[in-house]
Amino acid sequence: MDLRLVAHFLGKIAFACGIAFLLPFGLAMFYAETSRAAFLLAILACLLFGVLLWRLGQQMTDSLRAREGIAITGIGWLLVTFLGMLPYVFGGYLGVLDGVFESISGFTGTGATVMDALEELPQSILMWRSLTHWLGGLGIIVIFIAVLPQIGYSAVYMYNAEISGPAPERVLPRLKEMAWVLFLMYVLFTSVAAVVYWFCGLDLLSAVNHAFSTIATGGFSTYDANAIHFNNPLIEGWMTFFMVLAGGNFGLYYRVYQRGFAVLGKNTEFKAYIGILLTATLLVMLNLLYNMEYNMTQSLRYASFQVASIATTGFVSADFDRWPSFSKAVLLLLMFTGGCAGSTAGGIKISRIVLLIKMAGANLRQQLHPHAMMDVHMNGMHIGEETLHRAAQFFFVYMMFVAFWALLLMNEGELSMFDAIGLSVTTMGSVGPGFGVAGATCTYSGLSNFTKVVLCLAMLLGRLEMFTFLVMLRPSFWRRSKGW
Amino acid sequence: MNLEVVSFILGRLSLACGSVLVLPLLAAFFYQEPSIRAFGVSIFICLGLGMFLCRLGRLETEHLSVREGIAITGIGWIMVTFLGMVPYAAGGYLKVLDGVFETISGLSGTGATVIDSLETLPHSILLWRSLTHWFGGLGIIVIFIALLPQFGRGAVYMFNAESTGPTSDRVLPRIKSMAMALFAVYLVFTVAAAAVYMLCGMNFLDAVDHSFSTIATGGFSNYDASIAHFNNPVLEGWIIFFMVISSANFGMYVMAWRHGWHIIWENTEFKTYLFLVLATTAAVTIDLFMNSNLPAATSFRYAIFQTASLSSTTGFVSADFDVWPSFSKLCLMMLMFVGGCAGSTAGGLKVSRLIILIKAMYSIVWQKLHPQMVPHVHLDGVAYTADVLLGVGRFFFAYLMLDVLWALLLIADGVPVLDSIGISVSTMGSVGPAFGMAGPTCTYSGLPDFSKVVVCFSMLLGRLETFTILVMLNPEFWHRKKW
Repeated sequence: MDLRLVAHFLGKIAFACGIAFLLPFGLAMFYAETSRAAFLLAILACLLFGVLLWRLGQQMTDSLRAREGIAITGIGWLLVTFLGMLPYVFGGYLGVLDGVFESISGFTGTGATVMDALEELPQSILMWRSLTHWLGGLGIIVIFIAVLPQIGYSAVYMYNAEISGPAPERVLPRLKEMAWVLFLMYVLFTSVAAVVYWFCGLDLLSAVNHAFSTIATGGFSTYDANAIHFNNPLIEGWMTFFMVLAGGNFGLYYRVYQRGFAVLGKNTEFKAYIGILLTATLLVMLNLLYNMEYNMTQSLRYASFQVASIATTGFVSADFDRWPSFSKAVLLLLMFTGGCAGSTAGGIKISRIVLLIKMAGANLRQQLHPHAMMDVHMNGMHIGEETLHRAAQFFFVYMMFVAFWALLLMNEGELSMFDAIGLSVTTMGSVGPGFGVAGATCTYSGLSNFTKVVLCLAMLLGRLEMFTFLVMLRPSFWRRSKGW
Repeated sequence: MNLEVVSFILGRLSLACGSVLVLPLLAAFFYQEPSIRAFGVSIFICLGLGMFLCRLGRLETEHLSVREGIAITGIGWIMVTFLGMVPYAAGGYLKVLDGVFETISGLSGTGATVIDSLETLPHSILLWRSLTHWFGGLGIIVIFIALLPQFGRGAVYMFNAESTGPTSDRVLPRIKSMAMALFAVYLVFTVAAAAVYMLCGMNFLDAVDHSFSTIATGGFSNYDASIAHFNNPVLEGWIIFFMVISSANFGMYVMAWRHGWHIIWENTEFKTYLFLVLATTAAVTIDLFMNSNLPAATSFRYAIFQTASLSSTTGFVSADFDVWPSFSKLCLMMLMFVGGCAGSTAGGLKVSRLIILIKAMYSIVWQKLHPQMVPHVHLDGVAYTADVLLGVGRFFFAYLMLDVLWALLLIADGVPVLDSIGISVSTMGSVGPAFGMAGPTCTYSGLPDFSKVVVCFSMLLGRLETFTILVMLNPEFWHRKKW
């Protein structure tokens, strides 16, 4: 474990955080808000951490091994969520636990909020909330598309990045290049979204905040009523478009940029993703049409928005907690499946779901020919058993954690089994709204401290796909010795 | 696909079914019950069908390939289900759908009943219900350990590991010897249980019926209130004992008989199963004690019985657990999902698969750091290769997906969400009682017809571990060519 390398990068992350704070700080100065002091203190804290870590660290090599990559990812997230909590706490807007919750919810792109009265908060604080979404989303894309595949970490992402195996040498220069392109794409999508929202009638700050939240598939809004506040089908339609866009694989978009739109048509995951969204929309729409007093247009409007949102972001345009059970069950399943691998959305990821289903299908053939090789294809390529195995294991561990969180949440007084499962799934999947007590029109503020801590863990582990933290729990992970 | 062999064996199966039906027929004679006619008709049909199929087929070879095994298993179950339904329908006790439901529930060892007033039924019918449990359980053990061990790849492992994978040579003689040994264990347990139950105060017929139900981990009782009817802690304790031993790999018992009792102490799966039962009992006891107004002793009594009952997938009920706190209910639902040990009459995912999945998780964590290493998992000295691990992971996914599918279908049919999820998990896992409208004090009679059909599929696929039936849906399966 090259701790100096890790410290070096963590220092850079702390600095970056400090720079990020400048935007809301500038806003606070511009509007002469009470939060100025809080942001200033936060910037100072970032500088302090940054200098400390950077001093302690040293980058001596261009190679990045699995260990260091994982450590930087894991600890980096903890560091960033800690620093991100400072404005809330320094400004007295939230207590420490709530601040950590809001910060984690922001960076992981969950969008579950403990703030009950958003419209009373200063613009700078609201901006920081949305910014945490945006930065977290960018971080996820860079980590999962650029960093991890290069160090051979995750079979699914390696496959997606068309990388055949781990190659630790000269990773860092290539990483920088990929990260830069991803960053540009991300900024482009966000800007377009902001402009479109602005044209639809949102004021500039609202447009920017919601654009940040959409492209990061976060779900924070600057209004308590979330997207219900707008009650505007045009805005909802554009939001749906950008949410679906953000739920796609950014690595795929990069390939589209390099080789054209034909790539989309050949990508199994993307087709499955759109297919799942369309099917779910249809099912929910029919369910709403026959069981609620909505007409056809309303059913389509609410269904399409909520389906796209629940699979990725967590914006709420209607109180789906009052929808019939079948629709809620469909939404719950969408929280599980999530978006595409390499997007800012969470969940199990569509590519894994596709692999698992194909695997189950291939198994039926194999029962008859037990010695034949398993023949699963995706994107026209044969998938190795190793990748399939990892996908199946991921699914198992994900389910285990969902059950585990749900069990812990039972500690909370008035939580029914279904609500607990819903909470567990929505936070692991980085979605946001749950059912019942933390439902579509509620916030998380009423939950007990223990529950909030459990949910923080759920959000972190879900976002970083669990193994990152599990790996860090092994003592051998931290050993100084070189040579394995 | 050697259809002659399949037909012949199915014919034999039908004849066997007919001969089993003689038992309740005798009971009907003994008690002078109106069900004599119904059983007479059933036996007639079984004999007729049996002779017809035997005529059609031929046992020309001692070779039995995988395909024939699957076909016999799949079609056999469906055939026995319909034959078994005849007494209920012919006697006018249940309509056809309900009869099919009750029979599948019996054969699969689920124990979910659509009969609202058990105590008005004739003894012969109650005996037949319990017999469906017993023979279903026996069939499962024989099929999964003796006939088709490769289906449990990763889950069922024959001790001595003589037969691994599908080979058609020398399969039949080996099957016979193992099957006889398993039958012996099964019989001994059943007789022991019946004797003990009688000593605890049950009358002869009740003891026999409940012992059939226990060893087959079924759950049918002769009383609407299930075991709560007896309100006898000593009886409950003994039932717990027999339920737990029925949830272990019966092959393990055969090996222990041949090689010594230490085999049992060394069996990781069984130890894990016991641990799960004890840990959950402790958690539920504490939860009941602190959150329901139950004294400590009662909490423990209810907790241990219900935990053992649901984890063994028997499904006997000694208390209305639907009114217990949510934490306990979630624990119980998780136990229903995991089920018992592979190679027992219990259902569910199976403890061995859970162990393998968890061990594989550790090996993946290790592999994250050493990306070039191959994952390796060991259980009781057996090394599980990557393809087996993959199979287990795949099974977990398919099992959960089917649970989701059944739940969705039930929800679409109007059953409340939590009830649907509970019914789905419970029936796939061959448990029986669920929550809400199919709760411990209710029956499944209130479900709409479509839901009952869904539940039938759930029970069937859960019992036969999914793939058996699904494989038969592939047209390639039926092609005559050898391979």
